[in-house]
Amino acid sequence: MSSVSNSMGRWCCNLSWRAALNFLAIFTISTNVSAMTSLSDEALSGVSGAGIAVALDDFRFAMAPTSYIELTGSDGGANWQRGDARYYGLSLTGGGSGTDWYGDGCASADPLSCPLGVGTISDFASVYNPFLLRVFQYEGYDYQGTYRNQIAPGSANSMPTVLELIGPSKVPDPWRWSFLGELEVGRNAGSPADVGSNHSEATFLQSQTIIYGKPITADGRPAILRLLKVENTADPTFGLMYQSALSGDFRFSVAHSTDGGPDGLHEVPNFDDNEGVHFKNVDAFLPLGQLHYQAITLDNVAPGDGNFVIELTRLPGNDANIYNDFYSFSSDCTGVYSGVDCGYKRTGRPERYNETHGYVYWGDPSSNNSDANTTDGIYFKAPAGETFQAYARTNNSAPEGNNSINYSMTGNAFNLGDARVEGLLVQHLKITSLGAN
Amino acid sequence: MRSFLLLSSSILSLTACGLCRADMKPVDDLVLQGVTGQSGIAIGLELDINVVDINGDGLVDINNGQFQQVTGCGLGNFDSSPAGTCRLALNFANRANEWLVLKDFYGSLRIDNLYLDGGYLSAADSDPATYDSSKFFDSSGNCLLGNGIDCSDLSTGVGFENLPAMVVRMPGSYSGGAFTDPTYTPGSPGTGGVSSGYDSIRMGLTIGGASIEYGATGYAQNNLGSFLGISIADNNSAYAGADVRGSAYVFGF
Repeated sequence: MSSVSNSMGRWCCNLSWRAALNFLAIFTISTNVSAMTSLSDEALSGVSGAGIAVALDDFRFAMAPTSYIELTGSDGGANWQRGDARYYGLSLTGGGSGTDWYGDGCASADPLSCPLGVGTISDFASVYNPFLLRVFQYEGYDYQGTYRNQIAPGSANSMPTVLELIGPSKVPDPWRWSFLGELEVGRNAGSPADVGSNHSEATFLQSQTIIYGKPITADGRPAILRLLKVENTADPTFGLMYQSALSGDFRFSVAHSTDGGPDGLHEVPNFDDNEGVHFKNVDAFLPLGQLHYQAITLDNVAPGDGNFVIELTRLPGNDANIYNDFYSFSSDCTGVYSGVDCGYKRTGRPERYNETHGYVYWGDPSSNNSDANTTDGIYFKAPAGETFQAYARTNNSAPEGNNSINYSMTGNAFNLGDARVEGLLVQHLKITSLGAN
Repeated sequence: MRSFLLLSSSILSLTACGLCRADMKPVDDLVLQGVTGQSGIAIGLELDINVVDINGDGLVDINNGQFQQVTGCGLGNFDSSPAGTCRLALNFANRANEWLVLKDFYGSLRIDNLYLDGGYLSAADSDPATYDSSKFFDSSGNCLLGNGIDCSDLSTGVGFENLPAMVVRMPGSYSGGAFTDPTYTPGSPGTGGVSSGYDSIRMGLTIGGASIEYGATGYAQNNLGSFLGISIADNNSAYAGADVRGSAYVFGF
């Protein structure tokens, strides 16, 4: 970002953490009170300014159930309606017992039955593995196909510098993320529906989303956000990279409890503790952007209609080095194909494969799930004490000796099994807004 | 834009002491050592952008449950000149004459109880098994921890846990002189419920619309409508509230 303009004035803050630390040390020492913690010059002398670490201890964040972040749509048009989305009660809490936003306790010991943990997260980000904001240099091909591997600046091979925020890579206790979602369709901007409007007075859907897990992959890779200058000489603009990492359990539900809680627009519902679609033992890794030839950029729409574009840029055309790096082609073929790229292999993949390719596992593939399993994989579940029917159509005999080709079962929960996506490779992604002008 | 950074009365008192030292009675170190609760400093933080405080009392004026934005702001008109008086425009590198203009931009932030202190990493009592050495090397493979510490042996030098840190604490919701658990009280059908005690952070923000505007003065234009707006608030107040607990250890190398 090169400049910022504000119509009511300009302001700028440049708070050096080191200056702050020194200020704090000076302030603390100057009061000369033994109960206060003084930081000695000797202890501070090892600070060079190469990075800032932030550890979070006994942390808990809970937004009020009635407080929200709202994304406001623009007026509808032909074949589409205005949509407004509110996210209430965003929270990051600990495990153990909990409540819902309505204030009820939760009937089940399953952490996914409760959106809000009562306790804090003790080692949210340990001092041994903190959030880290640093500038760093990495080797790699740039957009022009030049391999950048020199530390010293100023040469064509100098490694570009990136600013990166790295999350913790070892998290002892799971975090519990949650929010209450409300999607309102067709809002009249001039005369919006009142709080408490029923479903005949406003069109809306409320839901809850709960994640109980860790912001790392199962093998300990952290989430990383990088800010950089795009190394494309034709478009040296501001760029982003994001490495998404997440493991744990997920639940999405919409059913309310049967205790007569409210069912109105902008009201906090009392969600059922059990209902919804569940994903257990999820492990997901998705890299968006690659150093130094692919990044997320921001742009306008070419005709200049005021809309906004977020784009994960295309790979540069016809550069063998970059293609081999991105797709992790091997070049160890033998015989008449010696020296020729072999393409994807099931075994012996280059290490770079695991950095450029993502994956999502829904469930532990090492075990088979019974049809009523609620501890692994993907399953749908009804409220406690209620049942629903699941249907399947088979070509010949159905399982369990049922020979009907239209096979059904009745129960409280049905497990669909596990699913696994390997080799996720995002070559190009472009999101364009349409609401302006 | 108007912004305020108000320190608590304790800090102001310390500042005032420097001006009136001659009238104050000196207190020696021995006496001070017996005083409890003297660790660190507490601050309150207030930040207001494009909102009205007519009488200058430091409190945002609320009108019909919402902020009263400055004149000419919040008109909801995003596709005709002149531009509203409250906007924020961003221009990215290699995007000459293309401005991402955030229109009808105003808000307010309140953090009432933020505690700053100095300390050592040992106070966090973190699990050493969570150590990740890769975070503490530079691009050339040099250990950055300093103070004689070897990244592969944290007991060397002053020891990892003896590294200093700035400690920022938020103790949770504060009400009437005590820190308490926040609550939610359901309302009667059609009236909505009320949240209480979520006051560690209170924040209200409106970005009425956003679009790209063009030209050297695109930051001051309002021609191309809006593709998105953002609002942060509460059903019953202009301020969204949050309960925040925990300690942040900020250190560097």
